[in-house]
Amino acid sequence: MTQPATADPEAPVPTDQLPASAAGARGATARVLGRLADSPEIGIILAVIAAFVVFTAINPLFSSVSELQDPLGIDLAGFGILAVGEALTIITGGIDLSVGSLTALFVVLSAWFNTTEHIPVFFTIVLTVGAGALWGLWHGFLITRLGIAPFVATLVTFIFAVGADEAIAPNPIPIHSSVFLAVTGNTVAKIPIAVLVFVVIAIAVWFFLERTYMGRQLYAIGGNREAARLAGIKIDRRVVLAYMISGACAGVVGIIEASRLTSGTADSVSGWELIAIASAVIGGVSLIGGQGRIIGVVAGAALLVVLRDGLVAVNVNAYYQSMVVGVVLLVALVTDRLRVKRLERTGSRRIARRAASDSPAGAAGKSP
Amino acid sequence: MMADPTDAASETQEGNVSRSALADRETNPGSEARGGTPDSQTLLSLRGISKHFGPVTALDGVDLDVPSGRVTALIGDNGAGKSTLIKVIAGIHEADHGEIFWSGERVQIRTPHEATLLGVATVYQDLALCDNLDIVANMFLGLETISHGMLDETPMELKARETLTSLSVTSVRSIRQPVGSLSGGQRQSVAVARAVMGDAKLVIMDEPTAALGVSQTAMVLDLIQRLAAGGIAVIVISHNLNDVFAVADRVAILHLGRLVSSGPASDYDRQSAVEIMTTGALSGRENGAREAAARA
Repeated sequence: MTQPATADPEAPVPTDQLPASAAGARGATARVLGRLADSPEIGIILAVIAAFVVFTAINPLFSSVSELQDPLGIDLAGFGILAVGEALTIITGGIDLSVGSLTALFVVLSAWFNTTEHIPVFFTIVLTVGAGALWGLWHGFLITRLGIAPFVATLVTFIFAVGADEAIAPNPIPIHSSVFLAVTGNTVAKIPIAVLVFVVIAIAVWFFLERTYMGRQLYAIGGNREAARLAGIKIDRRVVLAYMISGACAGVVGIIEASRLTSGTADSVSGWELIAIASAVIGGVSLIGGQGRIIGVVAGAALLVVLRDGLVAVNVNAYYQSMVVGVVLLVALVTDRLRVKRLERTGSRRIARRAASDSPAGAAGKSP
Repeated sequence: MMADPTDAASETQEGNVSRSALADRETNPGSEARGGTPDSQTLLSLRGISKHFGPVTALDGVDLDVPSGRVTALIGDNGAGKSTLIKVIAGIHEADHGEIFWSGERVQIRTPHEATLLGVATVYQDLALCDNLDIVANMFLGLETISHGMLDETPMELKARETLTSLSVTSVRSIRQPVGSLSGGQRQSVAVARAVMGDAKLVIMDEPTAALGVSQTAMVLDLIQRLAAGGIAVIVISHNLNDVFAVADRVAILHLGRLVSSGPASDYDRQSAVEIMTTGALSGRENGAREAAARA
């Protein structure tokens, strides 16, 4: 009845030749390059570069330092931070529709804290980001405790916040604090502070997802919730954390936009939740959950920002901008599907080849 | 009524670096003698286990002994209580009545975490693997090795490879391969490797060969026998009596929540097993099936 396992036709390579990423530094560079070539993100990164080159060719000012700082840099900071937070919720298999209108609310709220209530800038930032995290906690409560679908739970906030910002500030609240305005107005080594904030957040979330057990468990929850439950993962806590980070990101972007507008103006941003979701999806985050990486999300946000601002720089009518973004989203989705299908066909051969090429560096001396 | 399995990882989250390897078990006294010798060491004893779900009696006074180094097949028709029984052992359901003895000591198993601490590992029917994660990540899901707050991949990879090698699982190409790209038998192997990695003394497998092809089934049955040969007590639930008689040292038959017959697998044949599964007794004799089968 029983046969040796190696009789399996799909079993050509013995276990002791398996590669380990516990390899030396020699193998690491080659593996990073190999992974990048295989990764879904490479196409998006190339598209960003191509779009940037084309727009610069048409309008050389597009790549000038001032243009790179604002609007490009600060747009990227805003969209990028929202997209990174959004990606966490999508990876768990959920979605956060509220980040756009929450950002609009926090634009007004932070100006109200700082100007009307005379709260120092530091505490204004703490209060605004904290309010975002608390709002995320509320979403997490609705989703994990009451079992409300993430789409609906965050839609409620979306609708509520659209009205709330106008209620707080029927008229724009001007911001006078120079420290507040420095968030977008000042630069360090020619890089706007808001962009530095974005870089720090992106690296922190990347680290969280790739290097911590909680991040890995987020992928597990999005991939197979039942398996995650049976593995003893505290699913509710992880999901709540994802929505809290997403909410806090909306708080950060609220500060950045208020600083840029120099006032708390109602309805200052709209539709940004869709840009955040689109950035994540273009960057390879699957709406089913469990898939996607921060490098892709950042590249997705960069592509949307370059297209948006590039089309303005080359004087394309505003109508066409949205249409172009829609087409790009479609192309990204179709390309991703084609890539997945191609991988399904050739994937096993490719993995075998990579395993073979890795084994000298990876397995030698490490095999038991 | 139902325990919260999310408690299970609370204490196992950190510090799982040093788990003794499967190789340690090769020296276990249970490994050389297979085939139901009566003096084999009893690991788990259930006495009078009952479980009700509202008005429904799922288990009614079940007595069962599970020896180390043996494969015990738990068989029965649909609704006989097989799944409920293993969930009681795995700590997912708590028994309403009855006693559980582990190596002769009375124990309580109220949560999956308590079961894991005792050394009970369960491989679920739906395999409970994340297709989007690789083999190492799946094997260490909820049990990740941490160093300075970061995932420490090197010991996890070494441990994963060591465990797979000790189970003679040689057919995976890369331990960094996503589980979604594996065959059914390979997935089952990963699930088993995950189960035994954590110092399991009892491995429960729910329909391990369901939905597998012939060669994959052979691979999994081979794996089950190797587990038992390593001194681990194995409980296998299966509908497939061919598989049961291929690997089982002992057979326990449930019928409508009662354990109606149990004994060495050699006391049964397909016909007697089916008759007891469907009618609860052999030739109309309640609880006398073992003697009857031995005589037959």
